[in-house]
Amino acid sequence: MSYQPGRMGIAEGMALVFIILLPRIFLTTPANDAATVATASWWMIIVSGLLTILTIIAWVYILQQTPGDLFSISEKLLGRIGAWLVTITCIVFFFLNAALLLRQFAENTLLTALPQMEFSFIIGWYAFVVALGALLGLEALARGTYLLLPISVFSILIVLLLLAPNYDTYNLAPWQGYGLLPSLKHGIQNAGTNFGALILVIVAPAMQNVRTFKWASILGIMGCVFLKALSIMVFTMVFGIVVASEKTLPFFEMARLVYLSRYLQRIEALFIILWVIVGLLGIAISLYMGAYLITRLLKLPALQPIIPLSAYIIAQLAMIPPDIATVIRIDGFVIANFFTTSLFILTPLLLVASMMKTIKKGGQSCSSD
Amino acid sequence: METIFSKTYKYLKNILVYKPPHTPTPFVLDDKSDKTKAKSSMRLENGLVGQAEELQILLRQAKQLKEVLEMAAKNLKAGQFTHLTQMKTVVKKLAAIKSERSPVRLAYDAVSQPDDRQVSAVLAENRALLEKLYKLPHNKDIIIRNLILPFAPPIKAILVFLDGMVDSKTLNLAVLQPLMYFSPDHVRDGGTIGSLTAQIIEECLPANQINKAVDYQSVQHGINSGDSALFIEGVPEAILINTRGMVQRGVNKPTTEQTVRGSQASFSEGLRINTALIRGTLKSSELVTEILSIGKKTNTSCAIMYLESVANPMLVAELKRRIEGISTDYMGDIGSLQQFIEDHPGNLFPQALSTERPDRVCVHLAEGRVAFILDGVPLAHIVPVSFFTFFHSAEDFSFKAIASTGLRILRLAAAFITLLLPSLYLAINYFHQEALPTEIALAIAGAREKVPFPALIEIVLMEFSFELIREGGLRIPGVLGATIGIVGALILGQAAVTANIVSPIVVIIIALAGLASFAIPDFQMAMAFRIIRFPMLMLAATLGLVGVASGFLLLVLLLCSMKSFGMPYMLPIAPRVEGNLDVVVRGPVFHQEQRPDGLNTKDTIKQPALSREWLKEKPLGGQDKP
Repeated sequence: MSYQPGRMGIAEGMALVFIILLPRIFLTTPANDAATVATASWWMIIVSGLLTILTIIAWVYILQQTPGDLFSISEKLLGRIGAWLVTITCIVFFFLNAALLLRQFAENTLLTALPQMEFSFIIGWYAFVVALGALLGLEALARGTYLLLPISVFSILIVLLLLAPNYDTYNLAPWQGYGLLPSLKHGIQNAGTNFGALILVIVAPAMQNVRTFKWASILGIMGCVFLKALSIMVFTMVFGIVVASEKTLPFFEMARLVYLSRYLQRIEALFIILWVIVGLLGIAISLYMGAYLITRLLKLPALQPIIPLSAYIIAQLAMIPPDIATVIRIDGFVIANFFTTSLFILTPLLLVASMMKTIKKGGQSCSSD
Repeated sequence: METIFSKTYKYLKNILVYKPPHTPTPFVLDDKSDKTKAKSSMRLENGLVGQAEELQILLRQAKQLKEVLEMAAKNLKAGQFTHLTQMKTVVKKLAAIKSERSPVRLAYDAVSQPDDRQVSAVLAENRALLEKLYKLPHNKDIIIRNLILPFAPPIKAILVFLDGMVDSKTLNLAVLQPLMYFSPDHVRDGGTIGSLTAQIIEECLPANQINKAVDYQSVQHGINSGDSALFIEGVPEAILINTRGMVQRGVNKPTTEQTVRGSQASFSEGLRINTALIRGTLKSSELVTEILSIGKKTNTSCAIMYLESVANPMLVAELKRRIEGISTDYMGDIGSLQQFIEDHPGNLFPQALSTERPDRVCVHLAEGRVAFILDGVPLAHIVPVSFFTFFHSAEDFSFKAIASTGLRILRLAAAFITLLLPSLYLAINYFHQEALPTEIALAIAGAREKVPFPALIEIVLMEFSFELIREGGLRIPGVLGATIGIVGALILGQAAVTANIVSPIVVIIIALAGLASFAIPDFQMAMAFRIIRFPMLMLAATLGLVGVASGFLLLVLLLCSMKSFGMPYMLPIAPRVEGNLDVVVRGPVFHQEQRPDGLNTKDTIKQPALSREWLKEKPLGGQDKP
């Protein structure tokens, strides 16, 4: 059985980027952002997104000069040890991301849908489902995501629209939040949330060409950033900063607030389907990418056998923190420090190495884009 | 001597004393003893069978030689020297038979199975082989008709056919009569072996299809298909004459794909009738029909049909490769054939479109797909297909675009209702009551108040009853089935509600889900959805909406991972490719310019951008005046 991820176009690539960045919209992250930068939280998301797009543009240059995937590019530009370090960083990111999402979604399930269910059972069930999903391959995950994405986005937009009677635009003022510079600084720190956008670099050979990679990544980031910004904006408008900062599950609370008539109210339960699907897809893709990178790193002939094992490790990892508060703290810390640092070190490092190599070669391009 | 006392004693004894009934010894199928017996006899036979067969062949040749010698002696004694000249051909035949009897060929023929043997020049040997192959004299279907062809000298021949598989009229008038009344004056080249068969085929037999066969596999295939095999003394080949005339069902109306508009013809059991029906609708010289044979014992014919200028040659080659790569004894059904060749045989979802309508096959052939038909099955299968193809019906092509689109959306909604409605009810009832408006929640709670079972048992009970009625209705013969089905459903539903076994809302939900499953046009697809809703029910009962969402996600991913003969199953949506305005939303027929992108056809353009060329011309009667 091959570890090759298959063939993908702009639609599938965009869907992959979109879905790996989207799940945190359903978690406590928007409330944390509201607490940190207040009314600036919505444009802070856009700042983070723009920085990620800049990173992608840098990667477009790297891919044009050195075709291949993340591992082979790193090997060519940084040598074997460099490639190992880069790949291990990405493996840690994807597994950590999967474990943190798994724990938070499991806790959400207990809070909102199944309060009497055993915690470990939920974790186990989610791990089982994501392992099955990952076993079906990245092609199936990307296509499934593309198929479900319009429904998911439409559902989110419907909730935001149904809250229209509760909008209070004054809640968005002052737009600078706690100050322009602190907000910008937090926006930069928060760019690590979008580390997952590098997913297409890892499977770059599966994309048709560098142009497909570029547009799939950029459209995916832009779409997701827009939706996240809109969601936080509505969240702020509906609750105001003080209340918004205290909410554990912003999207759930927003869906709960919908009341148009006695026939259209309390629709939060129906949206459980939405966030479960988005969450599971995000975790499955992270799991797959981690396992894929291990396969590339160790030059294994097949990917499938390590997926169940990886899922088990992630489930165990997710159960380590004692409570949800610790998990949320770890999530914030990891994003701000590890993910952002990795994003801002790895890309420039490889960009510089690529530029140096190009200069040495005399500016010849390797790509046929 | 019998006295009155002895008679009375016997009479009383007969009445009073128990006598065991005279029943025949019961038959017990003891496979073990039979197997050992069979094995031992086989071992014994194998040791001698080769030598015995060799002796038999030589004996038959000796007998033939003896007959010729006797005939020559008789002519010499009678002084009929002119007859001796006629014997030249007989001697020539004998020489040919002798050359056939080389030691190597003799040894090979003696030990090989009858199937692997070549047709012999010795008629008696051919007869013996046919008797062995067709288990004569037990088998009463096979007829071996002795003939004498009126050549000079007369030649012995046999005609072999299966009774019931041939048309007697054709056989009598187009085979036997010309053969028996052939004038010996017309014999050309002195009746040599090579010219004899050629002359019989060219001048004697008026049948439309005649083939020569040199081995017994071809001979058997021909006879089993309804051909008559003609064996001639001294000729080491058989002539297969098309006399097929098996009684077959005619072209009837479709039973499962009925439409108000469009063609009303459906396939029949005859392979050639079916291919002709397609050819009759799609009158194109580019339509190719290839016939393959499947099944070692049955040699069932399978026709592959495609438009040569449109269909992807890789697809045709792959389909043929898969069909030719099947190694099985018997292939009696196209459903079994599909399982042998499809990409995911373990998956419930169908990967080939099954249809009984020739017009539907033609639409798909024109789009670049390939159809295969199995002899004896009134269905054609079309590959490759996508998930959405199963929600199309034959009528969609007749209706206007908006009507077809509406119907397709309705069918897709029906699939979702079949799959999810009972699970959603269960999940909301168990875990998420707050999702319902208060009045509905209270109504459901009120209706369920007297029901002694949990909602899961209620639903499973009703689902089981529904499936039972459906299956029972299918098996009850004639129109009675549908009537009993409806009556059974009404009575069962009403009685279950009155007895407080189930609540009315559950009856409504199961009836809706059941009805929706019948709105899915393809039976296999409807079956897949019906089966999957049971695991979905279990997930809903265990994990509520979380379980439903997980199950639904896995189902979508599974569908996205599937392929139908190399084409992604969820095409043209995932992966996204150019649709041809005929997926879910159907565009006007004159705007469907391209063939489906996923098929990678040789010719991608179905019609020009301006397909209504009459729009460019002036109306014949002049323009309307305002």
